[in-house]
Amino acid sequence: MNIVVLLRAVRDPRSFSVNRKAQKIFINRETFMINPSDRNALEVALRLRGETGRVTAIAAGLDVAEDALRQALAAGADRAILIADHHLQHADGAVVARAFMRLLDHIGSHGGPAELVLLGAEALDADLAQVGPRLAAGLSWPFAGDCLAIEPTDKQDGIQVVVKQAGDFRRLAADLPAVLSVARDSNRPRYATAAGVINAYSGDANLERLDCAALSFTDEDLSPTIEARGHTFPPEREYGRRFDGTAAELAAQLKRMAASQ
Amino acid sequence: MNFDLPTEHVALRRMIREFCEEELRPRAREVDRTGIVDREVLQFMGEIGLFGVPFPQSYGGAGAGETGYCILMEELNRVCPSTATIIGAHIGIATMSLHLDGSPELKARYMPGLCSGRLIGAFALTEPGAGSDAANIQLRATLEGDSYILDGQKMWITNGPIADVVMVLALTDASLGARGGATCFVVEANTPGFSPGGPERKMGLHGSPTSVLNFDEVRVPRENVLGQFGLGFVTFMKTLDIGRVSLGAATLGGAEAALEASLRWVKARTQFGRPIAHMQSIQFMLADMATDVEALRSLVYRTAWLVDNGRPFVKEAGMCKLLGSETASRCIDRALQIHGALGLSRDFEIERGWRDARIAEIFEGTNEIQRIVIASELLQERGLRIRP
Repeated sequence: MNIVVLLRAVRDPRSFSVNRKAQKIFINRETFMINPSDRNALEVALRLRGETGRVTAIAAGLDVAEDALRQALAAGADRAILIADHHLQHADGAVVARAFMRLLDHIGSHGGPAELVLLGAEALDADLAQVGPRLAAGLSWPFAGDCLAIEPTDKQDGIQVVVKQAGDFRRLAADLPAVLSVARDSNRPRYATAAGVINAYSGDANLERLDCAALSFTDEDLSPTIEARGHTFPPEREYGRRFDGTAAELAAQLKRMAASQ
Repeated sequence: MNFDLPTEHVALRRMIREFCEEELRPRAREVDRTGIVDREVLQFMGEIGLFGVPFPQSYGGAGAGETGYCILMEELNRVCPSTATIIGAHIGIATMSLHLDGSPELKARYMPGLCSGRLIGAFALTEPGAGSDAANIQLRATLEGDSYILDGQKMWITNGPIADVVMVLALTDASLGARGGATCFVVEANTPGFSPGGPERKMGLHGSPTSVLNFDEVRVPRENVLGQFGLGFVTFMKTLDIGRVSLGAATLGGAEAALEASLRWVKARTQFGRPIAHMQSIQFMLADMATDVEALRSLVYRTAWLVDNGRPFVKEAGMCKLLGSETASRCIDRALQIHGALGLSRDFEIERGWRDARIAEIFEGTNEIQRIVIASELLQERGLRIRP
């Protein structure tokens, strides 16, 4: 199967500290990582690839996006393509989805069309969850979000997934090509091998760089659909309450609490 | 000057650190407590290529050079010195001796297995009567038909009980002594007559088994001579020279771990109404530790650079081992002082670090031997040759 995986580089949460009182975020080190659920998506791709398939990792942005792609190559992706443009580093979901749509066109005409597009279900930073659905809508492909398990169906050109919806697990099936977002921690991403790492960062790594012009991506295409008007901290999360006692006492306490609400 | 590591080495460190934090750290305490080698984790390390980090990819290695290998040792020793020691003996001296002087045929036979972790290596030099006086080895190898018969005993051999392949230095001509009369052999552990003793009970590195190796008429085919006949001592000394760099890197990891633990603790521990980080007496210890660590890091990675760029490095390698082992001991000792009574607790990592650090001043050439190596290089640069 020809699989394309969308990767996003996000700030490593260990590299900054949040001061709620001062309403400030302090960046201590400039370190980035592959968005965790994108790593789960890459792992799904590598497992589904099969003998004849190919995994292409794609990302948009500059150095940190390129690094995410090299990590994917180190872990076993066959090919990586970067849309190298600094506007795309922090672009909103609509712009990124448009850019990736162009890139998928390009991939289709250079080496065979993608049959499956995978990405992480949540992003550590913006987490708007827009790129996947927008991309699927633009391509008129089916989309399933937050997939826990993904496997091919018995019939060719099909895929089935398990998703969590309204407290239930549901099994869904779709025709290929499709776009799926993969739930965080739904699998255990593999380690790259030491040799894989060295090769992914060498000169002859299979990494292509395209700029917006090469994809006929205009300034208009780059214009944001979302305007940032300010930032506020999310409300502080309330701590849970701890109950102690025997099972009967705990049940009684819960009952009282439910009654008082 | 460029002090940045190349991007591939930065990425390699990230991958190794993730492995160490996720897979090794949760096991490190148990490994120390039980002294049982975790074969599962070693096998996994082999699968992700950590058994062959410095060696060429054509032999199944990662091709990351001495710099990559130093990164590996630094990261492993930050988290689990026992595992670091298993890998250090396997890569740094056992496989390294084959890599340096082995014939293409011998390398083709053993390097792929060693680089993938299917085979674990050991390096056998020390004997009951040959420690710092390494040239005083007595283990004999006598030619009989197409094979050599090895007789004698090796001692304090890291990986002894778990090794599949052992690089052994043996006397092939007693009249010439070790210099000129010793040859290096690759001995497979399943050869009849070869038997390792049980693991020694040591102060630290409980998860890294060390033992006696007994050779009772062990028949080794002639093809298993490593390097030139009669020049095994040179191969062994050359191997130890290069091994000192990565040993320095390992001690760097130990010193860093001590500093990191101290930095966490001084913020958490309150005495006299505020975190002890506010005490100058504590700050001075932290500053000294950080200065020591930084000096060691500079020396280790510059020396790795010398090795990777084909420059002379013997003097600097001795310095890596000397400065490294003393720095690590000093840092972990200060960390223990900062942690107070908690530092003595077996439930805390400082006590293990303290026990694990001390050996670095002794193994692979005591620090006294390192000083002799450094001094003789210094004097040789000035035209005076010191005979050991």
